[in-house]
Amino acid sequence: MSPTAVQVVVADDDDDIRDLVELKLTQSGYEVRATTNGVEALEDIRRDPPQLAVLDVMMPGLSGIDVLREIRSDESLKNVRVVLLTARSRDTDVDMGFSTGADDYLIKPFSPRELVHRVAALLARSQ
Amino acid sequence: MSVDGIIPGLREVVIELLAAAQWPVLVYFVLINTSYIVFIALAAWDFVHHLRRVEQTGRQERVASEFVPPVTLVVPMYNEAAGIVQSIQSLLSLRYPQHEVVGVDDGSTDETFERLREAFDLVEVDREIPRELPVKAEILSIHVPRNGRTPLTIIRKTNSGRSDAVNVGINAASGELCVFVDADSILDPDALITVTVPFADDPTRMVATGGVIRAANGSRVVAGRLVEPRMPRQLLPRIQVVEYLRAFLIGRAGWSRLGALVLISGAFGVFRRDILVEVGGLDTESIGEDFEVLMRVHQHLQREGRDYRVKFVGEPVCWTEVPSTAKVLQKQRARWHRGLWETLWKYKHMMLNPRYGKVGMLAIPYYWLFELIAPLLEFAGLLLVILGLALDVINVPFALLFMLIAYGYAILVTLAAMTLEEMTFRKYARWRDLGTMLMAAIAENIGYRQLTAWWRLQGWWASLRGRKQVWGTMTRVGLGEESKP
Amino acid sequence: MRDEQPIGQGFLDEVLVAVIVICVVLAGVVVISRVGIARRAERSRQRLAPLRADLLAVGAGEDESGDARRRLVRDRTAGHDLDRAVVNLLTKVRGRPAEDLVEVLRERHGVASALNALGAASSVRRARATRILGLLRDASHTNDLLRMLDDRSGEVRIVAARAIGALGPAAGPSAAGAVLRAVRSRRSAPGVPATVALSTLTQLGVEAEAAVVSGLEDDDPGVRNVAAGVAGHNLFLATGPRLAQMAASDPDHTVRVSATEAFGAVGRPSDVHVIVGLLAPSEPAVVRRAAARALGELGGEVAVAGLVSVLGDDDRFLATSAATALAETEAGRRALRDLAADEAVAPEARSAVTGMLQMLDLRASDRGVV
Repeated sequence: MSPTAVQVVVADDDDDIRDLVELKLTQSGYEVRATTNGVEALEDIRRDPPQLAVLDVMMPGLSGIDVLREIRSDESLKNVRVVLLTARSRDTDVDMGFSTGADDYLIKPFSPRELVHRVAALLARSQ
Repeated sequence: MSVDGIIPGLREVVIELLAAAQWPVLVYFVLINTSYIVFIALAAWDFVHHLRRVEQTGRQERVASEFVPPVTLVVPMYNEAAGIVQSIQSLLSLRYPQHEVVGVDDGSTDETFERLREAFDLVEVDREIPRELPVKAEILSIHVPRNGRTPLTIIRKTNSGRSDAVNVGINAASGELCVFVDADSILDPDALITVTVPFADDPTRMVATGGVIRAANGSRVVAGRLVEPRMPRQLLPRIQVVEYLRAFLIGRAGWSRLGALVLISGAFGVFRRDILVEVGGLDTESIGEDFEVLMRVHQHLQREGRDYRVKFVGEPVCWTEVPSTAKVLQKQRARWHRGLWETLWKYKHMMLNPRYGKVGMLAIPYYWLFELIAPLLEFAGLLLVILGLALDVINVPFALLFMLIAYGYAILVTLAAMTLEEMTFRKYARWRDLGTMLMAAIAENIGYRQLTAWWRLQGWWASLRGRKQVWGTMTRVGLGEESKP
Repeated sequence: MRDEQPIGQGFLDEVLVAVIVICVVLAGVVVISRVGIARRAERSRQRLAPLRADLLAVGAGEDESGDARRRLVRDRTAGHDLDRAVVNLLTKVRGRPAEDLVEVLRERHGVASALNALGAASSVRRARATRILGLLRDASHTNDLLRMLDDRSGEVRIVAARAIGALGPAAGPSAAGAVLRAVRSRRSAPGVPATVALSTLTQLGVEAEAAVVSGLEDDDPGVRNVAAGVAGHNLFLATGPRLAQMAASDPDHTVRVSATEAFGAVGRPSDVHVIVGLLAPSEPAVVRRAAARALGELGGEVAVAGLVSVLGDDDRFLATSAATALAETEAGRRALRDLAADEAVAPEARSAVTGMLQMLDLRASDRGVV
């Protein structure tokens, strides 16, 4: 890992998933900023743009798609990679996510190990 | 004849009236309030059922279903430049497997279209719009985003009113379901999924569903979504929050449970497109077009003897700005009541007609008796009491006691609705909002109730005198979208 | 005046008192329920706090040694709160961590008590137990779940249907038949909703085929509708000819539409003419339009010719749908361009074609994402 740790913003209203994602990513050497809803996440991302955002699609209020849309409409955030956590649906969120500009997605219930692999691959690709 | 001669005569009349009115008023009073209690029980049953299912199936799986019909959101717009881009964007990013947005610009005179063209990079196309519904307006042009993929169509047409604009949108819709959304409504990300679930669950019979509308005033809005419901800061909207809770949430859930829902809100209603086409779309002459179209659907399907369902979805997912000034509220209520009267009158043949099932035997008589006539009786009663007091023919403590009971009971019904809300959706998280709600429930009975009754009578009267309908344009003050930092 | 009152003042006094008392009680209920929910959540959080790290370790697949699992199994202080937390976590992870969580649940007798609760008097408890059994994703519980498909509560039947779907093909062919039968409405209650049955049956994969084949012959239109949907989704090619028949002659319009659409997915070229026949003006509008969509999926010469024939139809919705359907396949797109170049084409047909070609051009010229 590089000396300055990679910043990751995680947004999920579900405590379990948020904590799991935070645990796995912290263990892998990322610096994780956990938020519990879309609004907090968006504020956090705008305040200090991270390299990566892991957003749950299904959050009340601002959904992950909404946050993604806001990120993509903001030129200063164009380097933020976004991974969406989606429900089991085969195409709904995945399609919408990609057309809104997501970089990758993970389907819930998810495998924590897969998350780490995907994130690492994504960051490697974008370097 | 001197004034002294009139007073004793008037006195006699008032005494007679009071004596004659006592029993009917009492019976009416008990009936209407009991009906509210029955509705609360029905709504409670309905919501508990709904929430239990959500708990057991999980929101995820519910949303994940791909077996939902394609939906077209029909958005009539007239001079909405300020919020239109945000609003269309948030409609496009609703979570749903297959939905398109058809915006119909009803001859706006402001920059509505320019803003849209810029934001979505619109280009004009020669797309043909089927004329399945008769439309008055002339279609000027049709535009789609340049990428040819974003599921958005904007139709420009000459000004012809909201109903006609909606009909144009229905014509252009490719979805099996049409959702009517006002451009200024704020929808939750899951709103479409929530309100279309009944169609997916019972595809052969469901023909229309209605979502609940809640007051957005005072709530926190970010990026076109309502992220934290809060009580409004002004009194009038506060009272309306409580009023909506009782009347819309409870009343409609109750009717839905009974299988005789006759009114779903035009600000967020879903219809099967083929049924709308069968009945001829919205009536451009009607002032209560939402009520009118559903009555027509009921009439049509009952006459054909079809097995069908109309359902209300209680989960709050659609928010709208309610009037915050007395002037706008007056116009709104007068218009609502006028629409109610004109529609009930138009469909009077369905009243107590067994051919129309529960709608004819239960819902329509109820609307006549307890919705249409209610303000009249309420006002007459109030007048009588005031006269009686002035002429000293009423026992003051007795009258006071009676009024206390009447309004106390009204507060009780509201509280019961609030309790139900607390047990189910619990949208207002702050304690302060709970206190505000409680106060609003009491304040509603002091002035607000009487005023709205008077305004409703005005609307009715205007219709009876055949005055030409005046379109109530809602002057909005905006919901205070939080700006980007 | 007082003597003339029809109602005694004393009675009214009592009514007023009753109204006030009920108001206060309701306000109290609101407050108590709010406080109670917050307090219960807090208490459960506190009880689970010492175990939270272990739970997350198992959930994250970090419990190589099994120590965390053992501590969770041994714990007696958090009781049902812990069981519930394990079940909740189970819905969110898959793979190895999920298996570990199931093991914890089993050893804590969570599975045994769920099996017991299948016979509980409360439908909420039965539903919860059924859901837990589904989360185990263990086909050995199939028979228990099938039994719950016949539960007297509609909610429980829905949960059971979903749970069976979670088992996947391992649930076996008899499960598919049972789910399909559960769609039938009963005397008082509606059957399992179409969406639930559809998603369950599609998850069962090939195991659903026999049930779907017989479901297409069911008396209940709801069952035929679901069966047709699954046949199309799971690509049960053998049902093609039967779907074509149903598309043409089922007494229920909704079933005709779903059979037509399903045929679009599985149909064989030899039966395409049946669907083209459904474009005839004598057919109901919904069926004609479904036929246009299906022909767009099917493609091929016969389909394209059929679609072209309705571009000038009086039903303009059908005509524009036909243009959209033509745009789906290469042969269709070619036909659209040929028509645009042809001077002799009727103006109605031309108008449907022009709009569609414009959309195609826009899409072709658009390279990047929005």
